[in-house]
Amino acid sequence: MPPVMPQTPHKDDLVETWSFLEDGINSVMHKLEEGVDMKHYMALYTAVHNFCTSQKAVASNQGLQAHRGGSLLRRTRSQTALSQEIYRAQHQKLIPLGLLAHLLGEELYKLLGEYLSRHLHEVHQKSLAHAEEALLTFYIREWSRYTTAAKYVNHLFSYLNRHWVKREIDEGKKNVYDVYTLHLVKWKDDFFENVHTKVMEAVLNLVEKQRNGETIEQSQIKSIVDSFVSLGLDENDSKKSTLEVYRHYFQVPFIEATRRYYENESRQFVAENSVVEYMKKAETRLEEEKARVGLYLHSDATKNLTETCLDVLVTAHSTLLRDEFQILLDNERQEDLARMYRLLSRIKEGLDPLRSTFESHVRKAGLAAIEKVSSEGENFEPKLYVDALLQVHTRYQNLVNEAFNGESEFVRSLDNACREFVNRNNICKTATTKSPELLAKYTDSLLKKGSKAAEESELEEMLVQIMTVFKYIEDKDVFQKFYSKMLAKRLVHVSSVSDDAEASMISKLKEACGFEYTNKLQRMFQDIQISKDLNTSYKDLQDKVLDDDDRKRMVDAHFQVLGTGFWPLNPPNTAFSAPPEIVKTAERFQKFYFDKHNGRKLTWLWQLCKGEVKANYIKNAKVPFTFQVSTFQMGILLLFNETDTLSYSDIQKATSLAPEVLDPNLAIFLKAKVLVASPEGAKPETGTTFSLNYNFKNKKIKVNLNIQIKSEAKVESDDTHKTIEEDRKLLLQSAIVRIMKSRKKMKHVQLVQEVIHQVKSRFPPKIADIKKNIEALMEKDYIERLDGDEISYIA
Amino acid sequence: MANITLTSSDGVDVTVERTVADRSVLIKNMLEDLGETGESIPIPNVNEAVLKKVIEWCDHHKNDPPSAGDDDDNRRKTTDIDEWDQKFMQVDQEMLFEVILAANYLDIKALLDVGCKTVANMIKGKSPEEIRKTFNIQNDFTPEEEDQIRRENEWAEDR
Amino acid sequence: MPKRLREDSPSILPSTKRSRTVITTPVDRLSSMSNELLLHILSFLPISSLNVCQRLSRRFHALGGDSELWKRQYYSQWVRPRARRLANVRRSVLPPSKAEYSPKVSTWFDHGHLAVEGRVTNWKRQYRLRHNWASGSCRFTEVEFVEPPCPPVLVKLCSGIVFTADTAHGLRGWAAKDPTRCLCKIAFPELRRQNTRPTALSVSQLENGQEIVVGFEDGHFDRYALDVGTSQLKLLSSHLAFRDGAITAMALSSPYLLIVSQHKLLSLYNLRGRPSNSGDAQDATAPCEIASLRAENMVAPMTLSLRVSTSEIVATIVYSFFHIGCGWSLGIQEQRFAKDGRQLESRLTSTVDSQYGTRPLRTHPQSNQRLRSTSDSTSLLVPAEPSIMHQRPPTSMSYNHPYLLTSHADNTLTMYLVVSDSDRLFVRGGQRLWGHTSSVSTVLVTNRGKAVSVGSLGNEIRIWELETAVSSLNSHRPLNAENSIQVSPDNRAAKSWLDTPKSTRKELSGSELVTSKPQSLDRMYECVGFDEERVLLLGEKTVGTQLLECYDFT
Repeated sequence: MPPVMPQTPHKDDLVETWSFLEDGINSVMHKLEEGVDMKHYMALYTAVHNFCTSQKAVASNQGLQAHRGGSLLRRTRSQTALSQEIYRAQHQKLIPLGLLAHLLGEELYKLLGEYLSRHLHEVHQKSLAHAEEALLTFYIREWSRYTTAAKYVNHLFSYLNRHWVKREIDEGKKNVYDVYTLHLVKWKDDFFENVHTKVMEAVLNLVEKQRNGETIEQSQIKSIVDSFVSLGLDENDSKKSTLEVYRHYFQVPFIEATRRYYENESRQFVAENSVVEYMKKAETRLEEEKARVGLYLHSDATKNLTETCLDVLVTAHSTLLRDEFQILLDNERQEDLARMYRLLSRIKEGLDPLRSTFESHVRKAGLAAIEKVSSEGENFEPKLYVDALLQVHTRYQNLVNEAFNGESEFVRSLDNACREFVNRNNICKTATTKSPELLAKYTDSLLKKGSKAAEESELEEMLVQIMTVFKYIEDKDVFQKFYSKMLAKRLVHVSSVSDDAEASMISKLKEACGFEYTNKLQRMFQDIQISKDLNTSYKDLQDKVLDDDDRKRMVDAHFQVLGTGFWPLNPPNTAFSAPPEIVKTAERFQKFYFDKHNGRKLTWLWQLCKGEVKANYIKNAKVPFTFQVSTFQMGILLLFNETDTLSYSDIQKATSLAPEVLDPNLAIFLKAKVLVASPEGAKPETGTTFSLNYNFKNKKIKVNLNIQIKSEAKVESDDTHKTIEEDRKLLLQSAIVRIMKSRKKMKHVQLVQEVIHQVKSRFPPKIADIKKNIEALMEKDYIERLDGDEISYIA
Repeated sequence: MANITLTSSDGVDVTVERTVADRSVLIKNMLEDLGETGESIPIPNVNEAVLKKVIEWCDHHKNDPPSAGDDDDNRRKTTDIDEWDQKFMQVDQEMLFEVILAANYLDIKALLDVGCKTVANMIKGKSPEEIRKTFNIQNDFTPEEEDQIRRENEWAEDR
Repeated sequence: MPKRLREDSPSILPSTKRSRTVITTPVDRLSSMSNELLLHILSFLPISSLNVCQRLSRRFHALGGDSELWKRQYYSQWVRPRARRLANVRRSVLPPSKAEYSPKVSTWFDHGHLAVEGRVTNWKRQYRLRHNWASGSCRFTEVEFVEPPCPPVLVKLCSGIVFTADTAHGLRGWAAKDPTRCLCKIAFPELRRQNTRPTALSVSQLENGQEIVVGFEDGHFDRYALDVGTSQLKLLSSHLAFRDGAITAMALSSPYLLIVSQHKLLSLYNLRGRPSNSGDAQDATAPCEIASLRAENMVAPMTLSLRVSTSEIVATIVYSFFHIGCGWSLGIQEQRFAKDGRQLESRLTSTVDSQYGTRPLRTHPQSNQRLRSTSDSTSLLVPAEPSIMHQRPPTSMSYNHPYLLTSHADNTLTMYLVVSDSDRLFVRGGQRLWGHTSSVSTVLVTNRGKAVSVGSLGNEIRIWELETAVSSLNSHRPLNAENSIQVSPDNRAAKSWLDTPKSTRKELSGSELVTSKPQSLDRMYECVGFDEERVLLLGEKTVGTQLLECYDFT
């Protein structure tokens, strides 16, 4: 038999209605787990409905008070206040006719609010018995019970929501909420406000336990967080929620506790452990806190929490960390450096001090490496020098990539440091031009035949490395100068390791410095190609024109025609009367060439020519020796075809060679024992006579006598440096003229700035030099000085 | 879908589909709160005749989409009522008002609107005297008062 | 509970075990319903039916006048259409939140002043007010000043109070609601009363009252404050602005005051500039001149305007001048000051381009112009004939940024829109407003685009809602009477008695004003001001009698 439908109270009687409702709400609040039966549910709803739709629900205040006072004595005072309030509320409603119609329900709303306050007061009393985790359990249990009940009551009072509450809100009244929200508001005002400190204490203690490594019941905290979030109501729209309550009551103390906890922990940890250990700890902690948000905090906390942790764990100890940086660098602790980078990169301006430390460290390392190279004496291999530079660069490049995440600011620091030690170190103490010279020489050694880097891929690899150093070179024009000189030699002497490697290098330079920089190099390359074609067609012609007899007497020759403007070559610095055999061959070719290109001028660069002579005179040789010689040497040796002995002055007269060329060449012959001096051991000088050594011996059949002369090499290098100075002057002047031509008028200071800007990709100009060149151009009347430090272009 | 039994105030059981019963927000909320127990739901404020009338409407509208925004102005502006509803509302005044009360009680918004619109249509365009006659409203004004109110409200008369 | 609803009929709720019987006595089932249900029914009714319902019984009188019902009606009648219209003008789609009724007045466009918390707005009254404005119906009252003051009295309306200033009576405040009632008065200081007459009057709303500044012939200005609570006028301070001439024009936007002397000297004051060092001043601070300029190119008549933003003060002088091509035009000079008085910029523009109709295209944003240039390229050429040409100077002008209106003797008004941003100052579009059937003597516009214009005969008052006209600015379609409403007082024909000790009893008859033209012709009218509820005109008869006419729309 289902329960009997309870008798609904008389609709006009507030006291009766409310006491009926209170009983119902009570059972929802306290005994919901027992279930609410349908008939009661309907009866409660109906009671609210009937009260609100009745037209004479004017309560007898007297009755209400009596009834209340009787039921619970200690509440008498509040009840009196309540009923007075109801009374007052009713009378305030007497708004002038025609303004607002009156709806019923206010009394119920007020009584419900009062009831909730009382209920929550009891809950609060009970909560006093609990603390810590038990309090959390209590809070969560009560919260869930209360909110579930609130949902029921909200439905039971839905008639009130639909009409009276809606109307109040429409009229713009504040502090009137739908019944569910009323529950939340009451919870916040009458319970939450009283317990939140204790609850948060418990929460924070739990969190601390977890931070200390204990296992806790995270779901509890999660529930508390959810409850706090639910309590945030938007003042202007009760349908929306805000995070205000959560932020204020949860987040603020939570962050505060976090800060305190980590302040203590890190202080203690740092005191007892190494910095490296601390960094590990800090990193772990940061990760943990990040995870914590996902586990039971509101995502709103992420930013705040992270910032706090970073502040306490990293910023507070940043000086300590930075002090460790140099030590880690010295010991190359890449992993720890990476850790430090990760930590400091997360705080504001955390890395700046590291960068400057890093920069000076790299510079010092570079300088030390060079120091080591230079300590081995003057004459070290360029390879040693370049390798030293590269090694430092590579090491720190790796460090930047591995530990510093390739961060661009660190790359910049690395570049700065490298530029410093590449251009200004122990070896180039005297002039910064030493570095490009050595680099060019090293490049030459790689590209010349007979280098050790046999594999092509290996060679390419090394060229790439050269470019790395090249990038840092400030005097790029010096490199260009030396490089072109050496390229010229390689081309003239056909001593390049491969055309591909040469081309690859040129294209790399072009990529780095532009077309202009490599223009001449490319033209040199072309000349060689053209010369090859030229020789072929010359040979074809010879084959047609010459008979066998002629051919037998012909010197087998190869010619190279090199454009004067592009090649860094000078005419011979000595007179030379070429032997008739060569003269004939040369003249024939000259004729052929002029036929082809009318009006051109050919200058024979004898100093660069070479040839082979066969020595048929040597007695004990089964196969005749072949001497590889320069043209000058050939001129000397061929004299001995006529006679066995010649005096110094004879030779000089016949060859017209200047003594500074003749003497070393004779010395080579003497040393190789091709010629024998008389008196024995005499130096090549006037008075000495030379005779052929018929007993010449050598292990090889081909004997290379065309050896570079030491002094020559030195002179050449000095010359190169001298031409660089000259070239720079021209470069500066042309830059000045170019600028002035376009600007017409300019302040002196501005002009200097502009010039620096234009030429700095080639070399770092000295201001004094620029000024000197400006003066020079004034003297030449290209430009003139006006009043007020202004310079004008003279058209 | 299970059937639901409703018990009218005069003790008559009426069985309806759940979807039909769910038109009433009251019943819907209760079933969601308490779960379906199988026992009949007492509807203490509605008698059999009215309950059946209401269920007739709910049954016809059981597949309507949920009502649009609470304050849809178009809904309010027009007193147009669709044909079926008009026919449905062709009942005596007593039944009409009982249906309105029941719809209000059971929280069936659309039915409440239809009912109220029907009444509004009975008022529209009539003179005060005609309206009083239609609904038996007692005039409790003194003639002076009535005249004063008439003058106050002249500005809004249809022109 | 006298106004409580009565329940005379038995409940129809079938909760009791009442058996259904045939009811023989007529039952008022409607009145037996609870308030919320009746309100719900009433919410489906148009306003005419609502008013009819109010006549049914006391109960329905209360329900039919329910403010929330009227609030909703007000919204659908006045708020939403305007929001829609504005959205259309901007070619934007109205966000759904705006399209739907919201009981929160604070979310309504332009109704912030009605959304004061804790105050119950009588929405029926608000509705009726708007209704009356829109239909031009109002109540007309007229007050004649006793002892016709000479020189003529100066009048200004601010927040429901009419301020008058004349040599004989000093400064007086009248209730606009009932202009026969003098709220407060204060005589001018002795010195002033004897020798000089007030030449300019300006009022600005403060938190708890009004600040009034009166400028005099002798170059002095006096500051007064009206305390609303006590209805007391108080002289705050007196200041000599110009030694050599009268203050001819004034604009006040507290705490800044802009004045112009007859010798074209322009001064900007901060009325609460610095602490006063004179012990006798009642206010803690004395006016402090923060800028002074000589404005050579100003031509009378002119109108002053003062706008104060967070960062700067913009003082604008509008004057008329004769242009050889398009007749009488307006020059607009804008002085922009920093808060410390530093002059930031001085800019000048005129309506000449607009009168030729060349300006609108140029002022379009770049992208727009490109889009339109193909179709409209011909109109870039300056037309030979101006589209707006005035052979006679304007009878009055009113500038309330961005609206600039002039009234003309040729029965029209001309509207311009002034664009003033950080980069430029120019006039956007010009538009003739048609509607008056006689010469227009005065016009006044608010910054929301509501304007009142008065025909020189005084009996033709038109109300303009110019907001909508803005969209048609660039078309050359003239605005006509559809955009304005003629004010037609309901009680013109009826007799109206005014009785107060402060003013004469005056018998008015409507026919006198409407029909007897000879008498009307000799009146001059000036629009004193208008607010949410009423329009005030100052009329002057040739014999020197001054009348205050009030058109009340409530």
